[in-house]
Amino acid sequence: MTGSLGIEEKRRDIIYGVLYKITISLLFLLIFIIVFDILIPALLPPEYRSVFEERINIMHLISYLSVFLSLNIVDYVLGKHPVAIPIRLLSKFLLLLIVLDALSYGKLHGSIVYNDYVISIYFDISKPLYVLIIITLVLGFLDAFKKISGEEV
Amino acid sequence: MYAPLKLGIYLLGAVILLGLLSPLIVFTLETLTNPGVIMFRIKSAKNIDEEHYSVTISLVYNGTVTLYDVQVIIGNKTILTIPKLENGKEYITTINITKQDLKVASNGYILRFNIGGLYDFKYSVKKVEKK
Repeated sequence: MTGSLGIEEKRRDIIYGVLYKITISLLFLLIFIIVFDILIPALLPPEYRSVFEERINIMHLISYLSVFLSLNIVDYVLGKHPVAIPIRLLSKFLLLLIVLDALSYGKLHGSIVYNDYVISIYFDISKPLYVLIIITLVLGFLDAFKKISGEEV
Repeated sequence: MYAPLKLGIYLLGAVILLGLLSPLIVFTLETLTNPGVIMFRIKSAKNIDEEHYSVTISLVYNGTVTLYDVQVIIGNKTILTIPKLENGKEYITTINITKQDLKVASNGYILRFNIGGLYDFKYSVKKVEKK
Protein backbone atom coordinates (compact mmCIF):
# COMPACT_ATOMS: atom_id res chain seq x y z
CA MET A 1 0.00 0.00 0.00
CA THR A 2 2.83 2.38 1.02
CA GLY A 3 4.76 1.36 -2.14
CA SER A 4 1.89 2.19 -4.48
CA LEU A 5 1.41 5.51 -2.66
CA GLY A 6 5.11 6.29 -3.16
CA ILE A 7 4.88 5.54 -6.90
CA GLU A 8 1.73 7.67 -7.12
CA GLU A 9 3.53 10.54 -5.38
CA LYS A 10 6.56 10.19 -7.66
CA ARG A 11 4.30 10.20 -10.73
CA ARG A 12 2.56 13.34 -9.47
CA ASP A 13 5.94 15.00 -8.87
CA ILE A 14 7.00 14.20 -12.45
CA ILE A 15 3.74 15.62 -13.86
CA TYR A 16 4.14 18.81 -11.77
CA GLY A 17 7.78 19.03 -12.85
CA VAL A 18 6.85 18.71 -16.54
CA LEU A 19 4.11 21.33 -16.15
CA TYR A 20 6.64 23.61 -14.44
CA LYS A 21 9.06 23.19 -17.38
CA ILE A 22 6.28 23.94 -19.89
CA THR A 23 5.28 27.07 -17.91
CA ILE A 24 8.89 28.28 -17.73
CA SER A 25 9.34 27.75 -21.49
CA LEU A 26 6.12 29.61 -22.29
CA LEU A 27 7.20 32.43 -19.98
CA PHE A 28 10.56 32.56 -21.77
CA LEU A 29 8.75 32.76 -25.13
CA LEU A 30 6.51 35.53 -23.79
CA ILE A 31 9.46 37.54 -22.39
CA PHE A 32 11.36 37.04 -25.65
CA ILE A 33 8.41 38.30 -27.72
CA ILE A 34 7.83 41.26 -25.36
CA VAL A 35 11.52 42.30 -25.44
CA PHE A 36 12.35 41.71 -29.12
CA ASP A 37 8.97 42.28 -30.75
CA ILE A 38 7.41 45.01 -28.62
CA LEU A 39 9.89 46.73 -26.25
CA ILE A 40 12.96 47.25 -28.50
CA PRO A 41 10.95 48.35 -31.60
CA ALA A 42 8.95 50.73 -29.36
CA LEU A 43 12.17 52.38 -28.16
CA LEU A 44 13.45 52.87 -31.71
CA PRO A 45 12.45 55.86 -33.86
CA PRO A 46 9.55 54.97 -36.25
CA GLU A 47 11.74 54.95 -39.39
CA TYR A 48 14.07 52.31 -37.89
CA ARG A 49 11.34 49.97 -36.63
CA SER A 50 11.05 48.00 -39.86
CA VAL A 51 14.77 47.08 -39.60
CA PHE A 52 14.18 45.33 -36.31
CA GLU A 53 10.76 43.84 -37.04
CA GLU A 54 12.18 41.71 -39.88
CA ARG A 55 14.61 40.17 -37.40
CA ILE A 56 12.23 38.03 -35.31
CA ASN A 57 10.50 35.07 -36.85
CA ILE A 58 7.97 33.81 -34.31
CA MET A 59 7.44 30.43 -36.07
CA HIS A 60 11.20 29.93 -36.09
CA LEU A 61 11.31 30.74 -32.37
CA ILE A 62 8.40 28.40 -31.52
CA SER A 63 10.08 25.49 -33.35
CA TYR A 64 13.35 26.12 -31.48
CA LEU A 65 11.48 26.36 -28.21
CA SER A 66 9.57 23.10 -28.82
CA VAL A 67 12.86 21.23 -29.14
CA PHE A 68 14.20 23.06 -26.06
CA LEU A 69 11.08 22.11 -24.08
CA SER A 70 11.27 18.46 -25.17
CA LEU A 71 14.95 18.27 -24.12
CA ASN A 72 14.11 19.88 -20.78
CA ILE A 73 11.29 17.40 -20.12
CA VAL A 74 13.50 14.41 -21.06
CA ASP A 75 16.23 15.80 -18.78
CA TYR A 76 13.74 16.18 -15.93
CA VAL A 77 12.22 12.71 -16.35
CA LEU A 78 15.65 11.04 -16.59
CA GLY A 79 16.65 12.66 -13.28
CA LYS A 80 20.16 11.61 -12.22
CA HIS A 81 20.70 9.17 -15.08
CA PRO A 82 24.04 9.88 -16.89
CA VAL A 83 22.20 10.24 -20.25
CA ALA A 84 20.56 13.38 -18.82
CA ILE A 85 23.92 15.22 -18.76
CA PRO A 86 24.41 15.61 -22.56
CA ILE A 87 20.69 16.34 -22.90
CA ARG A 88 20.96 19.15 -20.34
CA LEU A 89 24.05 20.55 -22.10
CA LEU A 90 22.23 20.34 -25.43
CA SER A 91 19.22 22.25 -24.06
CA LYS A 92 21.53 25.00 -22.72
CA PHE A 93 23.28 25.33 -26.09
CA LEU A 94 19.93 25.43 -27.86
CA LEU A 95 18.84 28.30 -25.65
CA LEU A 96 22.05 30.08 -26.58
CA LEU A 97 21.37 29.35 -30.26
CA ILE A 98 17.92 30.98 -29.96
CA VAL A 99 19.49 34.19 -28.61
CA LEU A 100 22.33 34.12 -31.20
CA ASP A 101 19.87 33.52 -34.05
CA ALA A 102 17.66 36.42 -32.90
CA LEU A 103 20.74 38.66 -32.90
CA SER A 104 21.96 37.39 -36.33
CA TYR A 105 25.09 35.97 -34.63
CA GLY A 106 26.22 39.49 -33.74
CA LYS A 107 26.10 40.96 -37.24
CA LEU A 108 23.08 43.25 -37.28
CA HIS A 109 22.19 45.07 -40.45
CA GLY A 110 19.19 46.68 -42.00
CA SER A 111 18.18 49.37 -44.42
CA ILE A 112 15.40 51.90 -44.73
CA VAL A 113 14.26 54.22 -47.49
CA TYR A 114 14.19 57.86 -46.36
CA ASN A 115 13.09 60.49 -48.91
CA ASP A 116 15.14 59.62 -52.03
CA TYR A 117 17.89 57.84 -50.10
CA VAL A 118 18.49 54.29 -48.92
CA ILE A 119 20.12 54.38 -45.50
CA SER A 120 21.88 51.15 -44.49
CA ILE A 121 23.22 50.42 -41.03
CA TYR A 122 25.59 47.65 -40.02
CA PHE A 123 26.51 46.79 -36.42
CA ASP A 124 28.93 44.16 -35.19
CA ILE A 125 28.05 43.20 -31.61
CA SER A 126 29.81 39.83 -31.60
CA LYS A 127 32.10 40.63 -28.63
CA PRO A 128 29.40 40.55 -25.90
CA LEU A 129 28.03 37.41 -27.57
CA TYR A 130 31.41 35.68 -27.11
CA VAL A 131 31.09 36.42 -23.37
CA LEU A 132 27.55 35.01 -23.42
CA ILE A 133 28.80 31.83 -25.15
CA ILE A 134 31.60 31.39 -22.56
CA ILE A 135 29.19 31.95 -19.63
CA THR A 136 26.71 29.41 -21.08
CA LEU A 137 29.48 26.85 -21.63
CA VAL A 138 30.83 27.28 -18.08
CA LEU A 139 27.34 27.12 -16.53
CA GLY A 140 26.42 24.11 -18.68
CA PHE A 141 29.49 22.15 -17.63
CA LEU A 142 29.04 23.23 -14.01
CA ASP A 143 25.49 21.83 -14.11
CA ALA A 144 26.82 18.61 -15.64
CA PHE A 145 29.45 18.21 -12.91
CA LYS A 146 26.82 18.95 -10.30
CA LYS A 147 24.65 16.21 -11.71
CA ILE A 148 27.56 13.73 -11.83
CA SER A 149 28.43 14.54 -8.20
CA GLY A 150 24.84 13.65 -7.27
CA GLU A 151 23.62 17.04 -6.07
CA GLU A 152 20.17 18.07 -7.29
CA VAL A 153 20.32 21.09 -9.60
CA MET B 1 29.57 24.33 -3.13
CA TYR B 2 28.03 24.73 -6.58
CA ALA B 3 25.44 27.38 -5.71
CA PRO B 4 27.91 30.17 -4.72
CA LEU B 5 30.11 29.26 -7.71
CA LYS B 6 27.12 29.52 -10.06
CA LEU B 7 26.06 32.84 -8.52
CA GLY B 8 29.63 34.11 -8.84
CA ILE B 9 29.71 33.18 -12.56
CA TYR B 10 26.35 34.89 -13.12
CA LEU B 11 27.53 38.07 -11.35
CA LEU B 12 30.91 38.10 -13.12
CA GLY B 13 29.18 37.53 -16.47
CA ALA B 14 26.68 40.32 -15.78
CA VAL B 15 29.46 42.76 -14.83
CA ILE B 16 31.56 41.90 -17.93
CA LEU B 17 28.51 42.13 -20.22
CA LEU B 18 27.46 45.47 -18.74
CA GLY B 19 31.00 46.80 -19.13
CA LEU B 20 31.16 45.63 -22.73
CA LEU B 21 27.70 46.92 -23.61
CA SER B 22 28.01 50.33 -21.90
CA PRO B 23 29.77 52.12 -24.86
CA LEU B 24 27.14 50.75 -27.25
CA ILE B 25 24.21 51.71 -24.98
CA VAL B 26 25.59 55.22 -24.40
CA PHE B 27 26.30 55.75 -28.12
CA THR B 28 22.85 54.44 -29.18
CA LEU B 29 21.03 56.62 -26.63
CA GLU B 30 23.03 59.70 -27.64
CA THR B 31 22.37 59.07 -31.33
CA LEU B 32 18.65 58.54 -30.77
CA THR B 33 18.22 61.63 -28.60
CA ASN B 34 20.50 63.90 -30.60
CA PRO B 35 20.73 63.36 -34.39
CA GLY B 36 23.63 65.82 -34.54
CA VAL B 37 26.05 63.64 -32.57
CA ILE B 38 28.17 63.19 -35.70
CA MET B 39 28.00 65.94 -38.27
CA PHE B 40 29.76 65.43 -41.55
CA ARG B 41 29.67 68.29 -44.05
CA ILE B 42 31.53 69.78 -46.96
CA LYS B 43 32.54 73.30 -45.90
CA SER B 44 33.87 74.54 -49.21
CA ALA B 45 34.80 73.27 -52.66
CA LYS B 46 37.15 75.16 -54.97
CA ASN B 47 38.23 74.42 -58.50
CA ILE B 48 41.93 73.69 -58.89
CA ASP B 49 41.61 72.95 -62.57
CA GLU B 50 38.90 71.59 -64.83
CA GLU B 51 39.03 68.06 -63.41
CA HIS B 52 40.14 68.57 -59.80
CA TYR B 53 38.54 70.18 -56.76
CA SER B 54 39.95 71.20 -53.41
CA VAL B 55 37.33 70.25 -50.83
CA THR B 56 37.33 71.17 -47.15
CA ILE B 57 35.54 68.57 -45.05
CA SER B 58 34.45 69.04 -41.46
CA LEU B 59 33.56 66.24 -39.07
CA VAL B 60 32.19 67.24 -35.67
CA TYR B 61 31.58 64.74 -32.89
CA ASN B 62 29.54 65.55 -29.78
CA GLY B 63 29.24 62.09 -28.23
CA THR B 64 30.78 60.74 -25.02
CA VAL B 65 32.19 57.47 -26.37
CA THR B 66 35.48 57.70 -28.27
CA LEU B 67 35.30 56.59 -31.89
CA TYR B 68 38.24 54.83 -33.53
CA ASP B 69 39.24 54.30 -37.19
CA VAL B 70 36.72 56.77 -38.54
CA GLN B 71 36.56 56.52 -42.33
CA VAL B 72 34.57 58.45 -44.90
CA ILE B 73 34.24 56.49 -48.12
CA ILE B 74 32.99 57.88 -51.42
CA GLY B 75 32.50 55.32 -54.13
CA ASN B 76 35.43 52.94 -53.64
CA LYS B 77 37.81 55.57 -52.27
CA THR B 78 38.51 56.28 -48.62
CA ILE B 79 38.74 60.05 -48.66
CA LEU B 80 39.15 60.62 -44.94
CA THR B 81 40.67 58.55 -42.13
CA ILE B 82 40.76 59.66 -38.50
CA PRO B 83 42.41 57.25 -36.03
CA LYS B 84 40.65 58.65 -32.96
CA LEU B 85 37.68 61.00 -32.62
CA GLU B 86 36.82 62.29 -29.18
CA ASN B 87 33.98 64.30 -27.64
CA GLY B 88 33.72 67.91 -28.75
CA LYS B 89 36.43 67.59 -31.38
CA GLU B 90 36.06 69.06 -34.83
CA TYR B 91 38.20 67.51 -37.51
CA ILE B 92 38.80 69.70 -40.56
CA THR B 93 40.77 68.55 -43.55
CA THR B 94 41.27 69.67 -47.12
CA ILE B 95 41.51 67.04 -49.80
CA ASN B 96 41.85 67.06 -53.54
CA ILE B 97 39.22 65.03 -55.35
CA THR B 98 38.20 64.68 -58.94
CA LYS B 99 35.02 66.00 -60.51
CA GLN B 100 33.84 62.41 -60.88
CA ASP B 101 34.31 61.73 -57.13
CA LEU B 102 32.36 64.85 -56.26
CA LYS B 103 29.52 63.64 -58.47
CA VAL B 104 29.63 60.21 -56.75
CA ALA B 105 29.62 61.93 -53.32
CA SER B 106 26.33 63.66 -54.08
CA ASN B 107 24.78 60.22 -54.70
CA GLY B 108 25.92 58.73 -51.43
CA TYR B 109 28.71 58.01 -48.98
CA ILE B 110 29.76 55.51 -46.32
CA LEU B 111 30.73 56.44 -42.78
CA ARG B 112 32.55 53.69 -40.95
CA PHE B 113 33.95 53.67 -37.41
CA ASN B 114 34.52 51.60 -34.31
CA ILE B 115 32.55 52.49 -31.17
CA GLY B 116 34.82 52.51 -28.13
CA GLY B 117 37.21 50.11 -29.86
CA LEU B 118 34.65 47.33 -29.52
CA TYR B 119 31.89 47.60 -32.10
CA ASP B 120 32.26 48.08 -35.84
CA PHE B 121 29.62 50.39 -37.22
CA LYS B 122 28.88 51.23 -40.83
CA TYR B 123 26.39 53.83 -42.00
CA SER B 124 25.81 54.18 -45.69
CA VAL B 125 23.61 56.61 -47.58
CA LYS B 126 22.80 55.99 -51.22
CA LYS B 127 20.53 57.95 -53.51
CA VAL B 128 17.76 55.92 -55.14
CA GLU B 129 17.89 56.20 -58.89
CA LYS B 130 14.44 57.02 -60.24
CA LYS B 131 13.36 55.19 -63.38
